[in-house]
Amino acid sequence: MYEIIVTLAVIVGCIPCIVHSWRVRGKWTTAAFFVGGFIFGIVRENIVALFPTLYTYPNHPLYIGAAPLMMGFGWSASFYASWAVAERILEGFAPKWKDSRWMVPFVTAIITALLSIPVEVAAGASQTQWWIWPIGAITVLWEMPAIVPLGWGGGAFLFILFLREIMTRVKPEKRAALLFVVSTLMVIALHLLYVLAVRLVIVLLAG
Amino acid sequence: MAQSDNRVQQSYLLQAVCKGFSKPSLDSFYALVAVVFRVTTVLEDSLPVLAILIVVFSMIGVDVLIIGNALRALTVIPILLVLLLWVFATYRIRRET
Repeated sequence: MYEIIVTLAVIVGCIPCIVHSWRVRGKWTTAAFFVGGFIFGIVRENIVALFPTLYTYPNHPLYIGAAPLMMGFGWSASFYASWAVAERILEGFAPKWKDSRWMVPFVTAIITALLSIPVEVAAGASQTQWWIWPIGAITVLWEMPAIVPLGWGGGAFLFILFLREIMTRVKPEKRAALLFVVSTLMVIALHLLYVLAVRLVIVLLAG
Repeated sequence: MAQSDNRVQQSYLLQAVCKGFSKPSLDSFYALVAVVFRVTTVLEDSLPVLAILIVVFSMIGVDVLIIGNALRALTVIPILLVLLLWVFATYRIRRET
């Protein structure tokens, strides 16, 4: 119920991210990030729909395949906003790490994980049910499963790591942007493997 | 890098525009335009934070008004602390530059 709220919040929240990226990072990085993010969200969630042991998305207003349209904006908006905040925090408090290959994605991952908590706590309630986790999921905060912050954080880490590496190393920018958009398929595969591995560890630890 | 290029371009543009003025109020005009540029830069910097705030306040609204459990709204505290760090970092960077 009330899926329109999360759909609008995510799509409206994505707009300032796109504007910021366009102004600060230029058109090709922006295109790479948000086209790649859209593909990441839609393709990933369609693959997830094939796994009955993961979550499902009932009652959303618009779908592409089995993925709600909002997922095309949700992942990229949360990754982008967290990335920009992470860069600023590193620049202000740890300038020697502000361009670090590993530290920037790592801090981005932590911020994304913290952002996931209020979203998932609202999403899983019986009054909303924007997405539904299986009954056996190990929960830590109301209906939020333990895997959630780790899943969001891991996605942010992989996405930002790949984006920064490709946009830095490959020239010209147009080719780098295209390469990144294609490579999001690899990011999806790595992220799903990571999520399944983390879930196994949680089950072993909690079981 | 692109942002500092923009600021340099804005500065050149400002100088070019102001060459056409010779009134005593020119200093005030410079000051006003400088404030506008400053505010624009701050607003531009804040866009990702705005995105997070849109989502955070939407979730608070859902927790309180739809789910009816204000305790759930406390889950926004960690991300709000991160945004507070962002404010301190921004202040520190601006003070140094």
